[in-house]
Amino acid sequence: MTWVFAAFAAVWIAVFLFLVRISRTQRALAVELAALKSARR
Amino acid sequence: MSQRRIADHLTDYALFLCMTASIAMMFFYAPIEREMGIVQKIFYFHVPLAWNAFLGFTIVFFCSFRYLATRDPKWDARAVSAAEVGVLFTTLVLITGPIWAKPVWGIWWTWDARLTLTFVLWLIYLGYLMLRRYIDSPERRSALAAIVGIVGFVDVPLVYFAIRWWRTQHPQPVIMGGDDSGLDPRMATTLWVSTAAYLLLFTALYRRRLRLEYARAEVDALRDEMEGRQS
Repeated sequence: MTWVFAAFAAVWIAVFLFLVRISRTQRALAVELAALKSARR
Repeated sequence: MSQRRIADHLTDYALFLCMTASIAMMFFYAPIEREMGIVQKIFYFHVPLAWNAFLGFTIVFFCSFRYLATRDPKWDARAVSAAEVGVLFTTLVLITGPIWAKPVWGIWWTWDARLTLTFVLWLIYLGYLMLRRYIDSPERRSALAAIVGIVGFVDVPLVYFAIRWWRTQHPQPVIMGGDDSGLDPRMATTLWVSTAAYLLLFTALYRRRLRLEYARAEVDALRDEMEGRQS
C-alpha cells in the first residue's frame, strides 16, 4: 500500500505545485496589467 | 458570470465527481490483481496520465501546424499550454512507473524501448519549453517552437507502439493488445473512469494555463503600446 500512496501523493503534489505556479504568475500579470493600464491613462 | 467562468466551474465539478468515483472504484470496486497485489492499483493512474500526455502532445502537433499556416498567436498559446500540461503528465508517468516497477521488477528503471522512448519524449517537450525561454523575438520563438512541436510528435506513436514492435520489460498491452490480452471487466471499467477523470484534470489545467498565456499576451501588447508612445 505504501507504494500506491507514494505514487498517488507524487501525482497530487505535482498538480498542486503546478496550480500554485500558475496562480502566482496570473496574480503577478494582473498586477502588471493594472499598473500598465493606469500608466496609459 | 462569463461563459468561460461557467465552463471552468462545470469542468471543476465534473472533475471532482469523476476523480472521487475513480479513487473509490480503484480501491473498493476493482479486484486486487493476483500476482502483483495492491501495487497494481498504480496502473489506474499511470496509464490515464500517459494517454492524456499523448493527447497534450497531439494538441501541440495540431496547433503548431495551424500556427505555421496562419501565424495567428492564439494557436501558439494553445500549443504551449498543451505542451506544459503534457510535460507535467509525462513527468508523473516517469515517476509513477518506477514506483510500480521497484516492488514488481525489483529495479526502479531499465533502458528498454518503451521506457527509453518515453524519457526521450519528455526531453523533447522539455526542450520545446526551454527553447521558448531563450528566444526573445515572439514570431521567431513561436515558429521555431512550432517546428519542434511537429517534429517531436514523431516520438508519440513510437512510444505507443514500442511494446508491440519490440520485446520490452514493460508489460504488454492490455487494451487492444490482441487475443491474449484483456482486462477483468471491473478493472476495465475502473480504467475508463480513471481515464475520464484524468482527461478532466488535463482540461482543467489546460484551461487555466491557456488563460495565463492570454493574460501574458495582453500585458505584452500594452507594454509594446507604451514603449511605442515613449519613442
